[in-house]
Amino acid sequence: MNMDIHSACLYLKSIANMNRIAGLTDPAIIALTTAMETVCDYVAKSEIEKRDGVIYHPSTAGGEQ
Amino acid sequence: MNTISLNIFTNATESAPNTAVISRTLESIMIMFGPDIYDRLTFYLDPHPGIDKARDYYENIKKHYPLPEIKYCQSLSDGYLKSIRDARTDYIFQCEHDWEFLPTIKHSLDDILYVMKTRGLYHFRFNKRENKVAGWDTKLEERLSFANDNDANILPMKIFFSYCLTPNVSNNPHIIDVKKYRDEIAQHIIVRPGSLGIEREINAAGKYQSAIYGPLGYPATVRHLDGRGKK
Repeated sequence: MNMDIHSACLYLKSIANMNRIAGLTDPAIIALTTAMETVCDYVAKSEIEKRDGVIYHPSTAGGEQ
Repeated sequence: MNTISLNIFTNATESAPNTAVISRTLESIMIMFGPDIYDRLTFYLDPHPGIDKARDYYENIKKHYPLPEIKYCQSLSDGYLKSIRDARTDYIFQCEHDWEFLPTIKHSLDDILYVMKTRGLYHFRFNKRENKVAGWDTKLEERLSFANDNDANILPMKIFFSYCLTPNVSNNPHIIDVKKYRDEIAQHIIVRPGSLGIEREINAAGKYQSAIYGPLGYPATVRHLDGRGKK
């Protein structure tokens, strides 16, 4: 499978949504689904925090070079 | 008392990081429905397609509107599903970032929620054109609502406002019943890129209706500002 990070996140999100529609009861599936959503949200956050090709890191807040 | 919160869905378009369009949308909502809605506002920000401008756009939104939370999402459908999951109110007002509300709206949110509740409406939309058969609104049926809808013993019945039923559950500015969506309708939504994945998929189920503000022939209540490319 060949896809960019955005497409991969959409794919993971769609699977996570299908899990939720199916009605989650298994703790392992709940944890996996939540993890998938968290990772995808983190990717979106990272994309927003990217500037000039550099990933913005919280530790550089206020002193970004 | 029915409760409602406002969700504005935005993304980094060609006009980002300029916030003029989203500001115009939000200001017209507050002019039409009152400034209190600002206290129950959440932004859903999709950084695509202009990822390189997304951070400046985020910061500009934060600068203009410091209080509301800005949540990240991968697309409109992703943010839309998240907004349903995260909702803490009975109803949520779902609006993309590039709409202007027009003074043809003569009723408050409380009035509209009252009618939604008493008539069991789960999707209430503001129309971008006159209320007539056009586009995906393939059939319109006018309905009257009454101020004493919940008590038929109170006579005479006082006409509140009219609305039209349509089979088109559109993404255009609308209010949804959170419980109905959580329990049933959200299962038809598919996470897709851009603004895809919601209206076409729900309409394809072939069993849902939307209500449009105003009687047949009523003029447009919203105007599309088209936030995709205009600076």
